[in-house]
Formats: sequence, C-alpha cells, structure tokens
Amino acid sequence: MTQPGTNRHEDDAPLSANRRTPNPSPKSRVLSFVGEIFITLGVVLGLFIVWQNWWTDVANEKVVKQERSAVLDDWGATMGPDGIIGPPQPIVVSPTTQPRAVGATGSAITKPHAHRGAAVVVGGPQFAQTHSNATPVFLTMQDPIAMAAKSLLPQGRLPVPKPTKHVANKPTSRKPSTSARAKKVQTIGFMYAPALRKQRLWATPIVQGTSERALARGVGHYAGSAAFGGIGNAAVAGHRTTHGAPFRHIDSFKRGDHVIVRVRDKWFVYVLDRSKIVRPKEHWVLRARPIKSNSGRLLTLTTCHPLHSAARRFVWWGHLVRTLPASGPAPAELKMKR
Amino acid sequence: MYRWIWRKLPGPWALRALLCAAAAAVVVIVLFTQVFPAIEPWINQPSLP
Repeated sequence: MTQPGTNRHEDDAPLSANRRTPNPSPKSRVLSFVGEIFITLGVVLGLFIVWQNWWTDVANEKVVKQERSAVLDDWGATMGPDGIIGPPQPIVVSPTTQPRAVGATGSAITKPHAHRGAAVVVGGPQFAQTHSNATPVFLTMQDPIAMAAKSLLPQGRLPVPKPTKHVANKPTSRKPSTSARAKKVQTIGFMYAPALRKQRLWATPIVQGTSERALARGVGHYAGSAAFGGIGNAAVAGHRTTHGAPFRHIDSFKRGDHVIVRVRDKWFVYVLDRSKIVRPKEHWVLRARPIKSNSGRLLTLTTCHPLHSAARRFVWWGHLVRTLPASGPAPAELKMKR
Repeated sequence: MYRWIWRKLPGPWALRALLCAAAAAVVVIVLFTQVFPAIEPWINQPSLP
C-alpha cells in the first residue's frame, strides 16, 4: 500500500473507480496481490477446519440415515424407535430361482462371487438370493481352520492385505455389477454399544474396508480380517473425531462392556476385555490372536489417539459371547445398563 | 486482486455485494463438496484417523 497522502488524486482521478484509493504503484500492486493470496489461503485453511470438524459430522449424519434406510429396505427389516433393528424379512425361494443358486455354487471357485457359493453350501439356497449388502459374512468362511491358520501368520501389512474370499464385498445379483457399483462402499452391518448409547455409538453402520471413503460412512471392517462371529479377529476401525466420530468416546469403555454387531441374519454379542494405546504401525493388534483369550472369535476396535491427533491408536479387544438369530428377539445385552 | 474484481463487477454497490456473496458461496460449496474431501487423505497423514 502506498502511504495515504503521498499520492492523492482524489479530486482529479476520473480514471479510478474507487475515489478513496490512490493509484497504487506497480510494486505496491504486486505486494497487495501477494498479500491477498495469503489472506485467501488463510481463509481457505479456516474453512477446511470448519469443514473437517463440523461439516463432516453433518454430512455423515445424513449419509448414515440414507444408508440405514437403504440397507433396512434391502433386508426387509425395520428399525424401532430405540434404534434396534428388527428381524429381516424371510426370503421366499421360488423354484425358478433355486437352480440359479445352485449354478452359482458350481462356478464358485473361479468367480469373485465365491463367497456366495459358500453361503449356499452352508446356509441353504436362500442366501444366494440375498443382496450382497445382506450376504451373511459369518456363514461364508469356506474352511475356518485354514482361514484361522492363515490369519495367524505374521503379516506386516495387515491393514490392506489381499482381499480374501470370505469377505463379502461384491455387488449383488439383483443389479448388474458395474465398476461404479463395485467401488461403492458396502454396508455389512450395524454396531451397537450400550455403554456408549448416549454418545450415539448405536446402530452405527459397519462398512467394508477402511478407506477414507468407507470411514466417512461408518466404522470400517478391515479387509482380510475375520468376518463377524467368525474364527479369528474381526477388526474394525473408526474415526475418533470428524465424519461422525463413531469411536470418539472409545476411552469410556470399560472391561465387560458389550459391543453388539448386527448383520442381516444374526446378532453377535461381544464383550470387551482389554484396551491398549499403541503406535500406528503396530499391526499385531489386528492379528488373529492379539491377546490371550479362551475364545478364538475376537473383535478389535481401533481408532486414533489422542483426540484430534493421529499419533497413536487406541485399541479395544473383545471376544464373542453369543450369537443369536436375527429372526428372534434382539439380544438382552442391548438394554443392559453397565 | 479483490479490488480488481470489485471494479469489474457491474451495477451499483448493492448488486456488486450480492454478486460477491454469490461467488463466495459458490467457492465455499465447491471447496466443501469437491476440494476438501479430495485433499483430506493428503492432510491427515496416516490412513487411519
């Protein structure tokens, strides 16, 4: 800026649109341009903070609502006013659709839809008809012992290992699978934590994978970790802050608290055993047996620590205590007070 | 820069202010819906927040 008073053309400046400002010198023009760029960048950074800490929560709430109703439609289930999802609609298998299911079994080995074939074998033909959102992942392990043995091996890069076939993340038989659909984040279930119900860890969508896109929608099931209710360690990641922050209050959990997972056909009740704060690269926390436990069916919750930082990871481990069919009453643990 | 934009905008003061507000709103919407989601992974360094 030029000094006020040095360059006054206020009275004889018909060229200047703004009479209050003197004609700046080229140097001051450059300076004020650079200054304005910096101010703009500062404002944009401020907006980013607003976006990250406020808008992502707003957007998440909206997305979660949509996702819940879409998945519930798909399951043919309804959600009570308490947020507890009711039984799924029984699926009627017509004689015309059954052979197709058997056909899927036949081609299960070569196709990426192998999990569906396995589901047919274990769960009966009706599962082949279900939407992939609803594919009962717990029924899809082809060889539990082999899977368990495989996941016992030390894996340096556990968070993103090769996709394993027991993880149901493929699109559906109902609509043709396009690449756009295949990329879509799949909701495989919902998580309930009675101890954190007031903090809204309640009917939180569990999505497949732990990409940014996935975690913006709910808590993410680590690709390659065990299926819920399955042998091994079903590991889940969630945001501590931003994007709905499902695990914000993970430090309020106490040993013995329940974490309940609902997939289409089952309720899985886990009880929490142990927590630990680790470094981000400590992938051992996701292994099949990260803690001593008599149960081979574990659950791991991971999130960032401390709040508003990603320097550490807060981890909770639990084990499966019971499995209930979703067609029956919801587990009593949902209503339990701590 | 902003002074230049202000000078280029047509109309009386009120219309210019309105146009500026509209432009700012468009910028904020584009930032919130396109730019920030795209750069977020790049800003939170580890992949697991």
